[in-house]
Amino acid sequence: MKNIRVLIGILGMDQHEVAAVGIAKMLRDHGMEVIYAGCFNTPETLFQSAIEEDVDVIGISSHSWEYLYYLPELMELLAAEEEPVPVVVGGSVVTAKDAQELTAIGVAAVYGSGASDGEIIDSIKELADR
Amino acid sequence: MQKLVDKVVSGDLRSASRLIRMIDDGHPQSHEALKQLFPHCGGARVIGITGPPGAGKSTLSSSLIDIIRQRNKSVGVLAVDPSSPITGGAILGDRIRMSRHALDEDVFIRSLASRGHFGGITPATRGAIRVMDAMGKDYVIVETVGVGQDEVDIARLADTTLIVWVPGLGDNVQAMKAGIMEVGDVFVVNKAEHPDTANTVNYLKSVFRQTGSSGPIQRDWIPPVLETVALNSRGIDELFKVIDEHAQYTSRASEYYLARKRADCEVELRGFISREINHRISRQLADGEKINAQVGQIITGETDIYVVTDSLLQELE
Repeated sequence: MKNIRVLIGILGMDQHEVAAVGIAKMLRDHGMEVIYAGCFNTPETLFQSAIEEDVDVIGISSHSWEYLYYLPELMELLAAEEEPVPVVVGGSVVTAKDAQELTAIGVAAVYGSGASDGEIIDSIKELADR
Repeated sequence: MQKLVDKVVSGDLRSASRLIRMIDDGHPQSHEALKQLFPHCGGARVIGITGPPGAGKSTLSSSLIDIIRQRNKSVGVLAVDPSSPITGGAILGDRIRMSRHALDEDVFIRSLASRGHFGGITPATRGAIRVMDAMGKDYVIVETVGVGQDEVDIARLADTTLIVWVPGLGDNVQAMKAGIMEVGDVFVVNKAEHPDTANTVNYLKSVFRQTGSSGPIQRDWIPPVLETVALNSRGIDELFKVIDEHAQYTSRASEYYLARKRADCEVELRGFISREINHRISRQLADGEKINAQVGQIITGETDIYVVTDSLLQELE
């Protein structure tokens, strides 16, 4: 049986962990295996972890502006892969304009403050299924 | 599949990572791949690390990685965390404690969820060790789920099993209980800055004095008891020296060691065979029609479950 594996991490100096932990628990409660990478990651460390763990989706939790700074590099690293792992970003700080930019660089989904549990679960399941 | 196996043997991380996933998911071809990897295995030394939750297993693993890397050797780490028995989901958080090795190409860390398996490791662990071995890793560290007293599977897979203990955790009665106390090759009292450390170390040492000569064959390796503070690498050099000594001991293949190995291997083989039989039988029964008909008759009282079991098994034979 295939279990969905998701890497959850926070980039840069952002150390607001509550949402990341909350999302990790929610995904666990929906039967997924979450590799929790915590805070202080760089695009390189998350990329390397995603390869070593053979994850289906990478989820970035953000409560600062840093996603704008780091995500292009992560997306570039992944794009060079034969089968790039999809990336999703969650955070109430992500503005509509930022979300557009993220989508433009290849982020598969952006979850704002209004995103429901069901919406996030369905979206990750769909991405993992590809 | 051959291509994947070849790439694993050449040390390719992505292929190894994918194959471990296939083993973990019970992919039908993974069994064959593991058979093909066999000629390329045997070079890795497997260190098992077990002990209660919060004892510092991941931090100790991280310190051991430091020493292995200082010696210019490569290492794979398999870190097992529990799956939820209800949803099957899991949070695997051991990587965080080893984050300083994240970008080291000669360190391959993989988290495994226990997936409903008891015993501290998972059915996929043996296969995952084989993959890392075939990649050419010099060491494979296997960190179990935080265990209680009876989860001893790791000792059958590891060349050297470390039991990580912490000061103040139970008295000598705890230490005399069967289970993990019997399978440890080396005992590590971690968090040794705690004032109760000397008591705990003395308790453990006295236990091995008492039980050292029990059993039919004279035990010729008395588990050493060491103190560490894994967080700042105190005592890790000494620990690694003892792991080396244990490697020399096992290579001498004494009567006691071989007897234990034989017993371990037999348990493993029997386990593998009964799992395989189970798989095959449930695949045959899965067609379901016969089962459905029988279930109907059992419910209406036309026949009973003992009779049906016997007749179905006879057919399969």
